[in-house]
Amino acid sequence: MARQTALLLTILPALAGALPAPAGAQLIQLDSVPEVTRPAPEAPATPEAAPAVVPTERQWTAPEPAAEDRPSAPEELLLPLRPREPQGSQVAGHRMQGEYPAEDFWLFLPRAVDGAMLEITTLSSINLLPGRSEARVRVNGTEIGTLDLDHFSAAGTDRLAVPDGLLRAGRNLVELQLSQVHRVLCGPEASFGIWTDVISNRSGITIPRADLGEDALSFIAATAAQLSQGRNFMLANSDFSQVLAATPNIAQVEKLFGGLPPEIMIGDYYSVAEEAPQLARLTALPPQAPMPDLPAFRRGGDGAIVLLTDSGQADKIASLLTGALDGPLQETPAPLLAPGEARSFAALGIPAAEGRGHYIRETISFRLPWNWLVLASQRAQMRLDYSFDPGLPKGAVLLVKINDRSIRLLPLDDESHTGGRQEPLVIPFAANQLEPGINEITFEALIPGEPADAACAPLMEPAFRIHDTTSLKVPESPRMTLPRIDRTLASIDISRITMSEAAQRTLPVGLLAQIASVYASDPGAESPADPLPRTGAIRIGIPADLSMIPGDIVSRNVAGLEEALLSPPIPDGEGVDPWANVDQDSWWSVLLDRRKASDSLRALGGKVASLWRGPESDLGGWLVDRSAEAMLLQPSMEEPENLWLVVRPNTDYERLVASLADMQRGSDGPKGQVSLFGYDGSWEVWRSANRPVTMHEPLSFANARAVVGNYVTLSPGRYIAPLFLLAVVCALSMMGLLIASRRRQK
Amino acid sequence: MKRRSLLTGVAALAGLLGAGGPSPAQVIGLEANLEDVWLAWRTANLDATGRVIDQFQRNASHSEGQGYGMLLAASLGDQRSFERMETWTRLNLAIRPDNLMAWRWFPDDTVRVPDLNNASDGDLFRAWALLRAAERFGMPEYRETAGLIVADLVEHCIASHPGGAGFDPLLIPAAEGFETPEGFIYNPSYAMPLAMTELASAFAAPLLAQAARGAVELARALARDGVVPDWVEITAAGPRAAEGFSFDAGYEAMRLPLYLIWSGLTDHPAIHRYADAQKRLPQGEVATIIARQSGQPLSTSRDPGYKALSALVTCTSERRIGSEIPPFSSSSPYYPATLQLFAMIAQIEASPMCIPI
Repeated sequence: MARQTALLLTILPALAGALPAPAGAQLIQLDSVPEVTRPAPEAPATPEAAPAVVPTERQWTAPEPAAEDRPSAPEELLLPLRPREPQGSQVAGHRMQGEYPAEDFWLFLPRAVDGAMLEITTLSSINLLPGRSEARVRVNGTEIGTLDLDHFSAAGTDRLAVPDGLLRAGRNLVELQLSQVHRVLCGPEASFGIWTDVISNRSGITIPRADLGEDALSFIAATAAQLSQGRNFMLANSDFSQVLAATPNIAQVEKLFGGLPPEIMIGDYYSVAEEAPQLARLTALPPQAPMPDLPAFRRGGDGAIVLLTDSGQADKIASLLTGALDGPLQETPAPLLAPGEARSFAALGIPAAEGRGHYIRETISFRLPWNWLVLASQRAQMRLDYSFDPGLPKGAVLLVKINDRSIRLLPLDDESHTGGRQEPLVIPFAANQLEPGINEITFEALIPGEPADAACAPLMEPAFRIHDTTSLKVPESPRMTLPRIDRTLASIDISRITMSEAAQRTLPVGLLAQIASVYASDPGAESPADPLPRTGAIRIGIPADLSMIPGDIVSRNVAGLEEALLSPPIPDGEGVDPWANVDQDSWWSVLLDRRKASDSLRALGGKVASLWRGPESDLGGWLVDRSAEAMLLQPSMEEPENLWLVVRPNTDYERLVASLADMQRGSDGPKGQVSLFGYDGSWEVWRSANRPVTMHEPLSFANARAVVGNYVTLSPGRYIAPLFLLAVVCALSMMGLLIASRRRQK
Repeated sequence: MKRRSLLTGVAALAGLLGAGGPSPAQVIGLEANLEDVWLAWRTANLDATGRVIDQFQRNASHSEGQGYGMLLAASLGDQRSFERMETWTRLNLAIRPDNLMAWRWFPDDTVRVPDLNNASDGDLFRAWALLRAAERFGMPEYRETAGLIVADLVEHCIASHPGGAGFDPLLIPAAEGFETPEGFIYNPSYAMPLAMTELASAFAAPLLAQAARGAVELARALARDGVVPDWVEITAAGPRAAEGFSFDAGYEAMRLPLYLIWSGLTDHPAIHRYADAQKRLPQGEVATIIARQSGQPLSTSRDPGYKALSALVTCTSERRIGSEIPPFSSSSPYYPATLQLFAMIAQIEASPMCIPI
């Protein structure tokens, strides 16, 4: 239209010069166009009573805001600390609990900074004893100082000078090692009452805003600062489908920031400003506006550093930003333990562990091959080489756990010992406590306070040491696999993480890239020794999708799964059994509560059925009274590589993402065929009794016993029944022979 | 040859007559893109009765503000808001014997309309808004009202140039009060070429189209010596500073490059003049008043509305891809907020390469 107006204006000379013009059928009648003459003076339109016109009043003036009222961008900007490991959806307060907690943070800088002061903002529990509670701070491996933890009523900021040359452009590692002492108590319980919140978005390095240029590192630093303020990262794009297609690349970029993958908001080019202006964003030009030399950094009208790109250049963006940060996130995968031979921690690359304090929980992770499977009663063995402080008080104990199940309790106060290094202790345990994938050994110590009602005396020595000569031996297994969610998650191809159409309309589209980021590989990072082929896929859906998910596991239990997702959790107290006071021993008590009777019958049926199908319950019964914010499903055994993540709308998505990220490092998390993500942030796992075992090697004399053991454990009924039948046939045959021989005798 | 040129020109004009307003695709794009921004503007500046409030001018309402608001509502498909504004305008400002509006309304004064004189830009925008609304909302009565306003604008507010027949007529600021002994006072930013030509096409008002051309050419002449000023006196000898009026490019004149871009005249020298002056300032600041002669900024602002306007003009002048039009701020006062929405619409309709980055 504007072009047409310009055209109209250009043709006007022709019109004006030719007036009056001849009229024609297709022509405008121009005879009526008046001569360009000044209109004759007319009677004033203003009523007589109107006051005199004051033309100069028409001049438009805008009162200038007072200088102090003028909004202006602050001259300096705090580049904050970013927790390396997410704590749920917390972005600001990062809680460090216990006597000797340690946490790592990332600090993204646009350039090397000299003469900087590192600000650490903390808020501590009033239980902390000032003077003896402190934080040691290290930057890129060098200790820069210690600060007292004495901000109790409100968050306070301490500053430490960073030696020149220590802070480099890009990613910097800040380590905090806290030492916290309870004012009036000592012991395991007291450990839970002492904590310090590191307010990460108010901790970091302050730089002049002008130091943030239009380059990749400035963009990354500004983005990290924006994320730390609890704000999303904005991607302005006109084409929703292109954003979805770019998910793998977006996920790669999100991976760069470590910690909780940031949520990306897809926005329009025309937006309403937020309270605080954006610091960085990405704008993808529409296909109609091609521009050479993209991607490029520009400055937006609100001062944000804008990464400008053409639609469809997501791979270039990922390369540009990934290349700007030298070095990986330093996330080394848990070491792989080869079954069949004893391997020391040192051989696995696991350093010696020390436990300090009065409640200690030291966890060591290792991995077993995904095709390792021991379900029967084989034994594994740990040869524990440890020492402990001979001065520990009476009652001090050390629990050794495998995947959170205790395998040994060791007294640390045995008077017959003199402390120090102990004779290596052989601890056998059931190998079926281990699983393919990530496993955890936990050393959990409880050291009573001495005395318990006063601040703990300073401890010079660690309570115990687990030496790196400790070894593990896990029995070999035939190469067998069972379908399981965690195995598929370990093989996710991030380009195969998609969203259902219903979810696209309901869930934030940024959730797709966030989840993909959890499974994106860190470029340059050490890859696992036994990588699985990347065949896994996740489709993100909402409860309405459940009825359309193929696979018998879901199709037979749609109502139950929907109910679990849509039911609120039962708060404490609401689940009180009104019949609890009735005599529970009487058989008729079940008749008083129909639901209880139904549950009892179901439980009985389950026990009978388990004789046939093994220890796993049926899904319908398992889902009763459970509720979840999200669920991971492996709907079909025939296609174990296809998972569904069904998410309840309006849930805390970041908590879910944080939990999925967390399972990359530990043994907790979704497994089996149905995993419910509960309101408490934990996963409940259901395993199908009909999991097909897949053998990846031929049956032989050598492996027959282990193979049969796995099959029998998994489906006892299939072996008990033929054996029972065989026994009956044998018994009947023997009886027949007996009767026949007696008749002959007669 | 002359006859052939005339026939071609007339045929082209005939082809334009049925093509008023943005294309359907642009209409859909406008609504989809600017929905949030429009809601923010409406919340901040429009009251429940349909009155557009200028907080900085004693909470007054102007015919210009009502016309602007109605044009925004019509362009962005908000029929209810449009009807509320038109109703309030009819009851409170359209109180003259003709079809033009009184130019200002004070909420707290005993006499709420102390001056019944009109402001031609307010009437122009109201007529344009009614024309667009008639098509958009299928309300032929709006078109009738627009036609009546156009007829009165042509009759009362278009003046012939004192220089004689060799010059195009011009849209004067009001029906009365701006005559001088040697000519008349003129405000270059009251004339919106796109609005004038669309209305001229719709209501067969060639004088209005000629006034549009006159405005464009006068702005071209003024731009030769510097930024186009807020006000000038038009005399037979040519334009000159008007006594008692600003001869710098201030809050009035800043609309001119915007209107020129919106009208598709993206290479007009007034746009380049304004852009050159804005480029003298550091990033983040824009000039709100520019000295005509030197081009130096006399007053600056960080308001996103003024920034948006400056960004659009600079981007268009430099023929760049991607502009620094900032996000809309709900806290912007009425005037810069409205200019920002205009800048966004003008960018979408006439300068698509200057997409906000």
